[in-house]
Amino acid sequence: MQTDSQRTTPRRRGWVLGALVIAIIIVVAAAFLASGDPDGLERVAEDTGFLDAAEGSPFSIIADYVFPGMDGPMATIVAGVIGVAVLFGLLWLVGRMLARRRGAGPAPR
Amino acid sequence: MPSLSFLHAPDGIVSMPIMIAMWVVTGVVVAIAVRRTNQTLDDRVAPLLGVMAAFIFAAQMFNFPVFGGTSGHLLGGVLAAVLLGPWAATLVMTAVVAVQALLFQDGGLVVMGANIFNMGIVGTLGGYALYRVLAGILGGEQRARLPAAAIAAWTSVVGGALAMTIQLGASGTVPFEIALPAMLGVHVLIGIGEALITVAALAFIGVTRADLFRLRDTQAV
Repeated sequence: MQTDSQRTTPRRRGWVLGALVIAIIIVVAAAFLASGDPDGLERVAEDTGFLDAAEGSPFSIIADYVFPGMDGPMATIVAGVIGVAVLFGLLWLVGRMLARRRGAGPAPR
Repeated sequence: MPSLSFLHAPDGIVSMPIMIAMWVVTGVVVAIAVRRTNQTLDDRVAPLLGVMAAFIFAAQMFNFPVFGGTSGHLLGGVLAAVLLGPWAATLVMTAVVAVQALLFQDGGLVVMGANIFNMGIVGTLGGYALYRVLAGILGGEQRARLPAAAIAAWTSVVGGALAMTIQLGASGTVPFEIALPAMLGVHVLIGIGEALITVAALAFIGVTRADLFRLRDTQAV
């Protein structure tokens, strides 16, 4: 039953795995290459004088994308890989929970 | 905490009434997004939600230099919406912002409603609406996907920044007329980065898995 709907399935785990590898590569690259300069909002906060109004979080888990107890790029890589894994798992589950099985039937419309 | 660094709005810079108002609007829109996603999402798309969330999270860590000691990073809302549809993309952006605040202390907890509103609703639903209009004007999504996405991506960043500026001004944090040129001046440039990354990612998908573009539209609407 080779149907159009089967061909549009993200094939096996290949493409999904490949995309996750790309995400990890971006994390590693970010650990070494990302700009440490303040981003747009923070720069404006600095320049227009409301940076001091910013309040920190009441708790700290992996603050500032630095895994606690580590330093250097590795701390950022570990933090980033955890974030990638958590978000992939979370949204995949949300997708599974919300989706209705349609892949098996004929495509609507 | 003067040395606090942040990518998303921290607590303390938006007033309580504005933060509550943003939570109300965000709560309603996210509830609609859950319902619409539940009605339309094809189960083949479920892994793509995870992939898109992971990619946007990773890309948001990659601050690129803009000018004069300022950086920017991807928003990703238009990219997600073009691939997943607007409602699923809103859920992806909501989860990214929530995980960044809860796990990485990036973005405040109370101001999270405003952050989700600016990035996940203005930047994503608004950006996608513009994308569809532009794609229609430019001769259909097949032909005009990349230019339409580029303009929508740029506008999504500027629109999100504008929403943030209005919230800051309404909060009395900084006079609107002072914040506006500063915020737009920076985000007009960050938006160019947004457009480039969005187009590159869509072009990559177009080359490797163009069939994924059809998934969104084969879902029941």
